Amino acid sequence: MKWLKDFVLDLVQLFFRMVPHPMRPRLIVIGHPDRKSPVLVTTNCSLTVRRLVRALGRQDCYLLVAPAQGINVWCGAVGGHFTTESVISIVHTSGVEDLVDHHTLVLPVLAAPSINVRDLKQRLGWSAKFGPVRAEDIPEFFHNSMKLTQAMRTVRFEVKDRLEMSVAMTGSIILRFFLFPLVIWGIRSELLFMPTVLALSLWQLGWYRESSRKRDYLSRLGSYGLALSVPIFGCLIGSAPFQLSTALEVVCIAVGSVWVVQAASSGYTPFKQCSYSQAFYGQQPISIAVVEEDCTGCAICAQVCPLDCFERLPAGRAFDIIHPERCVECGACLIQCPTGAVVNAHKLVSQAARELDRRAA
Amino acid sequence: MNCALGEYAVLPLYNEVLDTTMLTVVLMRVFEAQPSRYDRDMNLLTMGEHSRIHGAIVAKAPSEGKICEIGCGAGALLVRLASGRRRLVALDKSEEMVEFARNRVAGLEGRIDVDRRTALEMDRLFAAAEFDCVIACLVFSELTADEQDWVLTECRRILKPGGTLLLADEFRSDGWLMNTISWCCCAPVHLVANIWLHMRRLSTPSFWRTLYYSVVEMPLLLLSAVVSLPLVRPLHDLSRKLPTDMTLIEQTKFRGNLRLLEIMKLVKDTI
Repeated sequence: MKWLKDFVLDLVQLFFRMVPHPMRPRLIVIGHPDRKSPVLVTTNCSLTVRRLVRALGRQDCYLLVAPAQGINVWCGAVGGHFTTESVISIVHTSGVEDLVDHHTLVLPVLAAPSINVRDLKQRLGWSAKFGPVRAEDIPEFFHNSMKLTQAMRTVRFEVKDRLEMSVAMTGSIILRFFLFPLVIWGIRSELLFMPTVLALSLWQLGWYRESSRKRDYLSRLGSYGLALSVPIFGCLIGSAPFQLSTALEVVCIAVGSVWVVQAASSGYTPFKQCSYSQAFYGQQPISIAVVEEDCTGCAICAQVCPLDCFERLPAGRAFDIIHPERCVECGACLIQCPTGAVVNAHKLVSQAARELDRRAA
Repeated sequence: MNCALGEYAVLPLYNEVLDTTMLTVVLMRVFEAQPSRYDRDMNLLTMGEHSRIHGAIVAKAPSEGKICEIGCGAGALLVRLASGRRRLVALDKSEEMVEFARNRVAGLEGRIDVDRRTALEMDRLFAAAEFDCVIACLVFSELTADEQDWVLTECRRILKPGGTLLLADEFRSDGWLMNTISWCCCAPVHLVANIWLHMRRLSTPSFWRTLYYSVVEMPLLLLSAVVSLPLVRPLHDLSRKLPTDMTLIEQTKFRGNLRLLEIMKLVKDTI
């Protein structure tokens, strides 16, 4: 019956993915590890942990579930919940120090925006290397003697992911737009609330447009069609008489669905969606630049970038951000660059402007 | 290692929502944002018990020697402990708090170091039997059960034999009725505090933004807060967790389930 329980939990947690799913931080022993077996670290989001354990199968390793308030790896890292302190805590409390001879952790590469490997080495005495973005790549990563290939460290936002995101967004929309009026104004007012949903959906559509990328246009076009066709088709085959209120409802649901699907399709990521975060939380935008003189060519920026923005310049050793249009502003390169050659140009410019203002005053 | 591409839209909602949820600790999240007001707000919340506990700690702390304070906050206790004969070392995980405390203790008598570290890094920071006294004020309730065990063991290691651990925290009441009442008081405060925290994060609050936020985001926020409610973890049975050569000498009760424990590391011969 365990599979049934896991299946139901997976479904529920997928649908309500926007709320945390915490579990007790712990050490999970997978297979029959010995004193040389690798030690993996992940967050205490129970959905993440279940998927990871399934993907690991019978690989012999230790899995540390670090306290990160039940939030998944990337969100936890960018939001400041899955941090160096989380790793320090779980290494100490799990007793893994007594189980292995080596002092090396394998961290998910998406934890790079908050866990500074050098800082970790200094504060904990353990070194860390980054493992693949996706759990299903881990067996190959082990087989490949822990070498991270480009495919393993790149975020692919494929149809499956987009559909999953759509489902998660539906849960979010139901909560955002329906739960509150249901609770406050009663079930009957839900229909009256529909025009509000329409307005908000259109508004949000406007917001997310700026995060779009050229290659997403086609998929988005498809998703508009899909989203519109489903409710219209449903309405046509339904036996209900076609009244104005029904028409209005259908239009609202259609626009709502467009919003859901296109939100998933445009591929917004932790900071890219931050027309939202910037508007509401004053989070600073990031605009990555590389100071060529300071760059030693160590390639860490290219290794931690989840969207493959960095490449070595044709002349010389230095790296540069070759594909700024791909950047999702996660800040991993900023944190990991050992010489401070990767800078946030936006921050520098605004600092300089403030300084000029101060002097003028 | 799961790619987890799902929930970015609500990423900011997570910030500071969860973690510990006791009455004082919940509001401490709010207070921590403003170090300059922290002690005043804590005193208001605990009706002066915050300051009274500090007084009790100062009375019990050794008048000379090396003292470590875990989780020093805005440094109010450091100011009261500062004397030419005491050497103080303080840790806190919040950068703003450390900055504030450093400025506050600069120029006081005796040597005082304030470090931005967590209690879980004590193993690399301090040598064995280095301190005469370790103070932990409202720290343990922020730790998970495993972390509490680890920190207690570390406190034992860094204390000199005969040294004391002064531990002040919120404890669970003994009876189920009081527990239920206390939980019922905590729950709404937890929800309101969380919502207040998030509203505060609005960068430049305008009427429309606030309206959108309160109507559209509120259900998610409430759900997040409800999910985190079972994580309420006031301390209880701490004396059972103590390592064998540490013993509880005295327990002082304060209002609002706050208690101050005086725990001594026994000298070897007396064990």
